[in-house]
Amino acid sequence: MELIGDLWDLIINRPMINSLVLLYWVCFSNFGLSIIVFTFATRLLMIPLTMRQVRMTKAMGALAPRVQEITAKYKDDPQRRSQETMKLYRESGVNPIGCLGPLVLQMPIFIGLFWALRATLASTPEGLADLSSKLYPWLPGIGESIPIDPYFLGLNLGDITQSSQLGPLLALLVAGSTWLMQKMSATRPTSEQQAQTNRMLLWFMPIMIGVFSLGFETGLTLYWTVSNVVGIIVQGFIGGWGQFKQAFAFGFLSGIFSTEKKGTDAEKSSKSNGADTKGTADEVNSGEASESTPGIEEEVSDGHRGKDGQDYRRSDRTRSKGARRRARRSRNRRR
Amino acid sequence: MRALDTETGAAAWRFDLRGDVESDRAVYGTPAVKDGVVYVGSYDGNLYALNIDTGQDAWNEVRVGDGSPIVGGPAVGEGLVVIGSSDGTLYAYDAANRSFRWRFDTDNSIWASPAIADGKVYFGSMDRNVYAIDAETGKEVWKFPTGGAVTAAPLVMDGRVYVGSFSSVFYAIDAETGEEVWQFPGANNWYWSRAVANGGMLFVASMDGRLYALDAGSGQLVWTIQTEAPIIGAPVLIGDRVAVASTNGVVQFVKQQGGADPVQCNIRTTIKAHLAAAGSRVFFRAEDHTIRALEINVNGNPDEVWIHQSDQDDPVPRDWTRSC
Repeated sequence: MELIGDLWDLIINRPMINSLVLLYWVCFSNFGLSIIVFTFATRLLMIPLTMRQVRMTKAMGALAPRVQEITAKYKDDPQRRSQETMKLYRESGVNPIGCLGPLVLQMPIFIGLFWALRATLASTPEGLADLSSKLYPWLPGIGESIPIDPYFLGLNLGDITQSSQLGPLLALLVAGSTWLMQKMSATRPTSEQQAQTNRMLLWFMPIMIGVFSLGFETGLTLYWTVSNVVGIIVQGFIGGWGQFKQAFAFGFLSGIFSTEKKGTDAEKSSKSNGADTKGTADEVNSGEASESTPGIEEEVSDGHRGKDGQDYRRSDRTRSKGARRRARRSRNRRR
Repeated sequence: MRALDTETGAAAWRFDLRGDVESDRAVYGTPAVKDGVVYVGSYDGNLYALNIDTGQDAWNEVRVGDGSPIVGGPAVGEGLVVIGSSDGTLYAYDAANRSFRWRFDTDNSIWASPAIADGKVYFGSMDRNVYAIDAETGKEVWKFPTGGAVTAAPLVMDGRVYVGSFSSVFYAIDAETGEEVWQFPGANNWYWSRAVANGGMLFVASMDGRLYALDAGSGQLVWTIQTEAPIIGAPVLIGDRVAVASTNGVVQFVKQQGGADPVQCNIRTTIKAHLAAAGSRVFFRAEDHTIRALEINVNGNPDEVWIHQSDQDDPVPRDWTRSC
């Protein structure tokens, strides 16, 4: 156990504390700015994993109709169903676990940052004395940077979020950005049950994170918010801004006040995909998912084209320019 | 707050500080004693003046500033009691009647104990400066930037102010002008506590785990010893030796000349407090809520002579086994 603690200290805690202090020194002694730069840096380092996650998520979404078919076909034989599903994923080059990479990496960073913030913003003599043992003496600016000024835009980043006047606003930002992030990265469900779970998670997770953030240090809440914003930008660039636009156009409010709308959209989506399973509004634009998996793109494009050309074009507008271009090329090739 | 018999470790009196929670009742700074009164600043933000014989509060405590935590100890002199607060201000009170005399604001917390000499108050602040203040008016005489936070109390001696900072540099500053006389940049970590001096030598401990002996005139390193853990508390002179405690619980005694003949006592619990000495004994507080006394015996080795457990009535526990 002690070894794990030492390893954690060596690999996560100390590098994180020293990075934050160094960034504080570089960022004009502004700790809020150093947290923001730190967040951007960690998200940048994770971009290869994030891209992989987005592609896998989209590819899985694109495979959903076929998974639904398998589910329907082998509904009485769970073992065969599982085998066939895995076979489909394997043949399509999709790794369901690949979706978890950034999430798994985010957790140690979040936990590490939790402890690093507490250590870095030490306000007691014991805390400050402990901090000295965690700093690299060779790092420039270390001596000049301590003690760290914890204030940023009137917020004490070392205080608990709810103790600040702006705390509830920050918690709302975390919850909102988490919701948007989830909305943009949602996969197409393979069953009605999964769709319900997704719907529940879409609201439950942001609310939970928002409430939890009230009890965390303001610096952590800031990290989480910025991390979500970066995640949304990355998601938008890789996967297109369709869901983002939809969320701000009408999705957000309709998500709160209406569940009927979702049903309608879902039906539309199901029809346009030639699948007989109801889905959520998340699914409408998931036809764009296939851009990074050519084999899968064929499937989805066919699904849209087969039923209703008007519908297809409408959903086409919500795609990114790159996705539209690729889809046009694909259609031209088939012609 | 307790007064202990240096011979037996038994409590002569006990005074309960006012803080509502235990962490607020902490005392980090060394108390100052003058004219039968013990002055002590507490983390609860109060300054107490206790009768040295009875422990009764002569002042009925003074709330310092806005009641922010007090980490450093007070200094008494020139008819003043001076103490710094975490609110970044140095406060001066009349030692005779506790009335407020003046205040001096800095840009960050003041955790260092001040020193009073030759009509001036010298102190360091977490705003990375060392200040000299006119004791009468409370006006700034000079300010010396150290490049790092200062938690160490300054040592004022022979017209110079000696102090180390978080910049890992130890400075000698002219007490009149505030000009740098010399600097010793040889440490690898912060200086947390004050230096002690004897016979033209300065002894100062750093959190890099080293005790440095410097020539007070030139700042040249005379000798150094490496301990196995950071040193937070101030060293102390005892006979011809200097004693220093590391955070790993080892108290080392070395000769002031050359740092030779080291002997030690390992109490196996963290020590962060400053050491104090009287006669041939060294006293300190450890993190296991004990106050301990070590005595240098005739052959030069330390013996633990008593241990006072501050959370028990029995000053010397029955199951006590000596650390050395």
